[in-house]
Amino acid sequence: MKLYDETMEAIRFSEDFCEKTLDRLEARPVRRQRRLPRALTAAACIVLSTAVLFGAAWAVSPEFRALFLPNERIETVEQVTPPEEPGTVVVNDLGSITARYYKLDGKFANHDGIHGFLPVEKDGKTTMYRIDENEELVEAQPARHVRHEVDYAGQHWDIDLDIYEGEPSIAAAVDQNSMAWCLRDANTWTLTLVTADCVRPIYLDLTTGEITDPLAGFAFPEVEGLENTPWAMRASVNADSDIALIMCTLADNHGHIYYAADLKTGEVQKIAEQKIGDGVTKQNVTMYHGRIYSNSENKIKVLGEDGTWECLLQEGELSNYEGGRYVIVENHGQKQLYLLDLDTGDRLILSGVDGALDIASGIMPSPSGSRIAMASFNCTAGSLATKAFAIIDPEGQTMVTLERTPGMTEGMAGFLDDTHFIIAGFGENSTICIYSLD
Amino acid sequence: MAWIVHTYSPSLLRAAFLYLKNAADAEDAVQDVFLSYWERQPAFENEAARKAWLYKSVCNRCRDKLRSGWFRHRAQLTEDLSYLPPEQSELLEALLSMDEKYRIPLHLHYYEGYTIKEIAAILKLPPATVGSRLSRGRAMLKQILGGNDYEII
Repeated sequence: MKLYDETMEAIRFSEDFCEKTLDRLEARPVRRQRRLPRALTAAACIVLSTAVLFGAAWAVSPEFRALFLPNERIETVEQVTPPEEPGTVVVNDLGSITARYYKLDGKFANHDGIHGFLPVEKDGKTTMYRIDENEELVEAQPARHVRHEVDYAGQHWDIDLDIYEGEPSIAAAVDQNSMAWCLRDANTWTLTLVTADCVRPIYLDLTTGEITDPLAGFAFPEVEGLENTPWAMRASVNADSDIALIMCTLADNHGHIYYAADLKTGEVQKIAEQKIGDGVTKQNVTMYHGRIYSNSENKIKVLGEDGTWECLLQEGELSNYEGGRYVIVENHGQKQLYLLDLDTGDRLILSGVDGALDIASGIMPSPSGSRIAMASFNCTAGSLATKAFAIIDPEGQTMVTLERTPGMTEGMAGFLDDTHFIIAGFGENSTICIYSLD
Repeated sequence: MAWIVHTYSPSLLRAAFLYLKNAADAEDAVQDVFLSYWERQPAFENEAARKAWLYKSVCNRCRDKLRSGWFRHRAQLTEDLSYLPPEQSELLEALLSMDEKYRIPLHLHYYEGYTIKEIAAILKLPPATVGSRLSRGRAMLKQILGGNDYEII
């Protein structure tokens, strides 16, 4: 057998992966409908009793009725068809949205995401573009150049950056050394520290070149105390820099331990058995949410102010979460999509959206979280191409659908800022469509 | 369903691993796809169509994960490959060091046996692009591994 085949087959995964997967599938409601008739009979009695009590309460109490009518609904879906012919610049006014179609002189590069600027590569050189006050795509000029040599924890970085600054605090940089960078703010950047047993962020002050380790001084005794157990730790820090989520992977990926470190108070909380997706903060309360795999559950739970986990999803609902305040939820029984607000628990029904918007597709929040983009896949067998993007404004309660330009295979889509959404094509001389949302 | 999970899990896990570079995330992605399959119960004309659907779904799920806020802003977990023999470890590390756009077509073509046209459909790329990426990817792998690839793939 060739070396490649041998190598692929030697990669280790959980030995009980298939069994765990089948356990989860069997726990789905589709199967539960086929369970014992006796259980159904008992359930029916309970449901009937509950319905009588519910009806009585509904009839006499306005407050009770209000508890069950919290859902707002988006009624109107506006379809936006992009320009058909890619040209240098084509402007189409489409009601509330203007679509501009550009052909780039180079390749759209999105290695580090979109931070208010469009990086375009040509002949190994990256040029940054931005949208000016006239809504035109123009070349951006770096505000400054930064060069530092940094040594920390046995590692050495040569930092060589062109810094581009936008409004109000958006910044982006071109890294000449192909290092991995994550944006934090205009003057402090996050470096990824990789050691033998640890992957975690550290901060670099671009002005002084000083390094700050947000996790310095934190201990994770349960992990460090496991003798002869190789482990890896990865951590991320939220945008407000007050909470770190740490996942420790034990030997051979056979277990995870999650910690939350409060970077302001120094407290470390172990979050057992929770599969954390991300953390968000709400005033002084930190909320985590994740899918819970234990006990065959697949639910989103939020850590409430009282320290207990509150379940925000019903059984039979699927969720998609990509960070930020909102989650897309699909309820198969009702054949509806909701936008779930993790902050308030409110649900916004995406009315007029049928099964074309697939929960398996990604959602993307705008930088401030004021808008959400959701990709739509055609889920018929044999075709899973992205068809369109729905742009949802939860505050304004509007939703528009941006159809993909015919012939364009999208390489990247995302918010340039809160009012501009882009869909960019693959390869050299990429086409790119910029939608102005206001 | 058990047959489908047992039959396709190994291939799907390897493909997801090549996208996400660690086993835990790969297992999550593949499990998500099986869950979606179970919920939707799509109908297929034959096994090849079912396999293609699963592959496309895994590729889409992995791409979604890679562009998600959590993935983009978190530190990547480095997979411990010390359990592999040195030559296998070297090959896998070389493969993972390549750009995703080269290593995924390489894997689908040389390991899974998909044609260029089939890969184009799975990855939503023009066939000519897939062909050039296969050619360049093989050349890059050869270069990374010191110039000798005739025994690798």
